[in-house]
Amino acid sequence: MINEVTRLKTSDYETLKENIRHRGYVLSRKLMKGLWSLIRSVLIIGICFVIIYPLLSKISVSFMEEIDFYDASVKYIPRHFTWNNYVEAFQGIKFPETFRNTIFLSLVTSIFHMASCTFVAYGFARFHFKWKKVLLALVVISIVIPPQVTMVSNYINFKYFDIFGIYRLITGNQGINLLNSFAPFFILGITASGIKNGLYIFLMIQYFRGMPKALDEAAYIDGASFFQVFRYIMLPGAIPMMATVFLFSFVWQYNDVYYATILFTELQVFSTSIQGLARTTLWDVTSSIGSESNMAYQALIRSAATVMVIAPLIVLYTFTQKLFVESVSRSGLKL
Amino acid sequence: MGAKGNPQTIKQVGKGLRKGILTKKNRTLAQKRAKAGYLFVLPFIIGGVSFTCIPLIRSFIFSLSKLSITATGYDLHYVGFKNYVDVLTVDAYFRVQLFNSVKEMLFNLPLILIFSFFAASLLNQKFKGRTLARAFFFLPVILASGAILTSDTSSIIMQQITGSGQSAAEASESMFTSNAIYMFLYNSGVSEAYTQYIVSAIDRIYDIVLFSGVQILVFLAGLQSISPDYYEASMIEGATKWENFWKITFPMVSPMILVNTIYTIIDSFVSEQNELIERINTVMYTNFKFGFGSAMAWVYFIVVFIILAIVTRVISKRVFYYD
Repeated sequence: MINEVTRLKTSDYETLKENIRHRGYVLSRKLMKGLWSLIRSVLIIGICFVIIYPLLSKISVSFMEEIDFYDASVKYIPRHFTWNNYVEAFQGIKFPETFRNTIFLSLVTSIFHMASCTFVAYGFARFHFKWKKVLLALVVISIVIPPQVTMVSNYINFKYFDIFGIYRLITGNQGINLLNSFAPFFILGITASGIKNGLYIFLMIQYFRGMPKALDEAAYIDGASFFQVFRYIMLPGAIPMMATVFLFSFVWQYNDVYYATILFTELQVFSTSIQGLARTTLWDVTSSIGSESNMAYQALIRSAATVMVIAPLIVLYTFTQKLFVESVSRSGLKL
Repeated sequence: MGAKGNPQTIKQVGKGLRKGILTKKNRTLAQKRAKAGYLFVLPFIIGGVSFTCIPLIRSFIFSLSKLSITATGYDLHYVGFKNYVDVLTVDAYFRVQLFNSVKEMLFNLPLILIFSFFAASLLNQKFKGRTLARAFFFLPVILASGAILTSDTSSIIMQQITGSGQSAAEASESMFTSNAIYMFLYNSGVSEAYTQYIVSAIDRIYDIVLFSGVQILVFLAGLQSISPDYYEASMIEGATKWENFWKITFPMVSPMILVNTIYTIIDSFVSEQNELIERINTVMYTNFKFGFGSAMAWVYFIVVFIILAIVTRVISKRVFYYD
């Protein structure tokens, strides 16, 4: 871009003469740039602060003792530093077991989502078939629908799970109870009906549309079957996008509270464990200050638990942040 | 022996030919591709029908009846449209909550769009620490989950107990005390309505920033896809920055505006913090009134769908596609 006048280095006096000659154009340009740079920094730092503030406050609260919670002069740095909240929260949410469950669930479900959405999206992107528009409308509906509309039926479906009544024919019982296991999520994942799967399907469709058809056709001429073209030509090129879908799916599955609350009755995952803290910690203990201070104690433990739950996500994010941020521009998302 | 002119063999050959054209070996390419397409989409057909279609129909049937859970399954008792009538006329809260939800969403939508566009253009410029800033801006998407946002209620109670003074308890919940700004605006002569609007917009900064993560990314992608050649050409022709914005940036980014609008509407309507969704959850899972709850969910769904359709039609007429 034509930005600045390039000059040879001259002395200050000559620079001043130049500036006067140009009526200070270059100087004012530089000043404006500097000023804008300052304003921009202020804006960005301000917004970053707004974003980061809840997290910072939770971290600082989680290290406080109860007395500090009431002390108006203690803002961020606790006066009485303690690890006690973390110990309590660790036992309260049964960290090792919950951690294992959550990571396993999120990982496997994300792999299923990634695989099934890519598969389905390829079909939508490259082929024409009679009911294509109807099915696309179904994808849109699956995104727009409030989950409550379908949840009751799905709950009953999983409580008495039975494919076409085969189980009932064989054993005479109503159906297998799949609740409180990972199976419902896996089934939803494989059939591209999981959380926000419609969105992933659309992302991948846009991506496949951007791949040149000439590659496909060259492969068909060489005698490849449909599936071979998919596996050897489309798939390698789509890996960055698939990684994005995997990451998004992992994060959203990790954070999902709604489906986890309904489909898991005893199985522990992170998203439901924080709400379950009431049952597992010394929630009702009266502390040194009085019986109303239960709530302060609760807030302390809850903060510590929240920080522990978020921590794996933040670790993941620091390593994969570039992938997230650049993913959408890569997809060429247009409507 | 006369194979050629024999009328019987001609008949047989004719039959064989006719069969040959219609057998599987001679399907057209389009048909083969269609079959492959169906195969690829098969997982979604299974999933969409069993987990979206059928539940939709079932839920509609539920909403037309009174549901009770028994020991072995459930019991349906058909009551016609009574549930719907109840939802819209008898229930004390539903209409108000629905109206509030829609109002909230319509209010937040332009704010979110403007803010995320602004943030995206900010992040598009080159400066030190740009990657870090982008990482921060996208953080709410990673963290904004029920786990974090719903666990702040304790501090509201703390405010009642501790009274005055900004202890850590209070500070962790209230982000901005906008009283000062309200007083300033009001006393300097700005009318009441505008003051209210501006102050409530400021109060929402927190929510808007939280809800804008994905939108910022989409806009950023859109901004990056505009080739700098356009700007150079216009600079040469002597366009100002203002003209640049309205003649180049804005039209090229308009498809993204459509995408973001749709995403924002859906996100705000289905999110956990929506009070109507909370109400539906309570009715269904705490009060076990499944028929009634289903009717509520259906009414909500229809309203969302209508709003989405209207907004999409209005905006997509003005979107500029440069392909």
